[in-house]
Amino acid sequence: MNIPVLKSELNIETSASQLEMDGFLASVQRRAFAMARAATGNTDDAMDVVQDSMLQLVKSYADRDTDEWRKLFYRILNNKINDLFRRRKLQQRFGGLLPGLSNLATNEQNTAPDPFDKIPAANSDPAIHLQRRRTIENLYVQISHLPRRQRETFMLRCWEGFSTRETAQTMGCSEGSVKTHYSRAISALRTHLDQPCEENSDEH
Amino acid sequence: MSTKFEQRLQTELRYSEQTIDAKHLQRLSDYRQQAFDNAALAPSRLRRLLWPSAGMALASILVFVLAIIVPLSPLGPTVTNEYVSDNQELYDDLEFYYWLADSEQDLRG
Repeated sequence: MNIPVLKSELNIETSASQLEMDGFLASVQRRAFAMARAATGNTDDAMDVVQDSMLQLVKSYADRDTDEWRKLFYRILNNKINDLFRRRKLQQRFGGLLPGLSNLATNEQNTAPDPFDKIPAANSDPAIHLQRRRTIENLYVQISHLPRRQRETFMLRCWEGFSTRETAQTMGCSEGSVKTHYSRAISALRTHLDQPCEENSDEH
Repeated sequence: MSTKFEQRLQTELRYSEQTIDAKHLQRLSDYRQQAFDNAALAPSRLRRLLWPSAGMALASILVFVLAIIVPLSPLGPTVTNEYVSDNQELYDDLEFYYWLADSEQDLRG
């Protein structure tokens, strides 16, 4: 593993801290990228979001307790995704007036190669492999269609596996709000993914 | 999270993380490295907090020094002040002017 070294304050304590931070970022980078891609629907945008999130965490919160990093990182990630949506909305409104913005507006899906194109076949049957890939892609599309708070709650609760309390702390809202958003998100996904409603999704 | 549906969603989503290709993983590793490099170049939080304080202190010192060197006084007498001071002289010497007028009358008369 390539360990980054800060150019200032080279002492044992900071080196250990860098090592910890690097290990943490390495542990979350795949999920962060996948989450950002599911939310934005665009590979390059997802890359930018993850890059900005990593930079902000290292720059602003490296001195925080390591237990806080995960929550802080996902909060930053969600904020960066929301910033991107705001920029997109601006581009849609004023893209024609400002030529610089129109490039971003047209940089939509399918312009970059799909990073999930090379999904290895866990099963030797290509039909099953293809079916699974389609399921994931469909799931990503449905996640991107969820309202902002529902999407954030779903990604933190279901995907990351945070508890209701941890999700509430990360999102800066009450546990009751988390339960409501999560329940609605699961209900919407269940409907759109055409799943039978044999279970009660309100159990948290 | 307790239902089978939710568990299945989690399984699929986590599986999707493991299928990211090497090119994108390499980019993510590069971004990690860049985050550390950029953080090292950025000014520390303490320095960022000190800048406004230092600026305010410097501005205060400058104002203080200017206040000592350049005394605060009006630039010049105003029209009203000049008018009042001229009239004041006239009133002060009023007796002299009466005496002068009387003397001239006596000389003529």
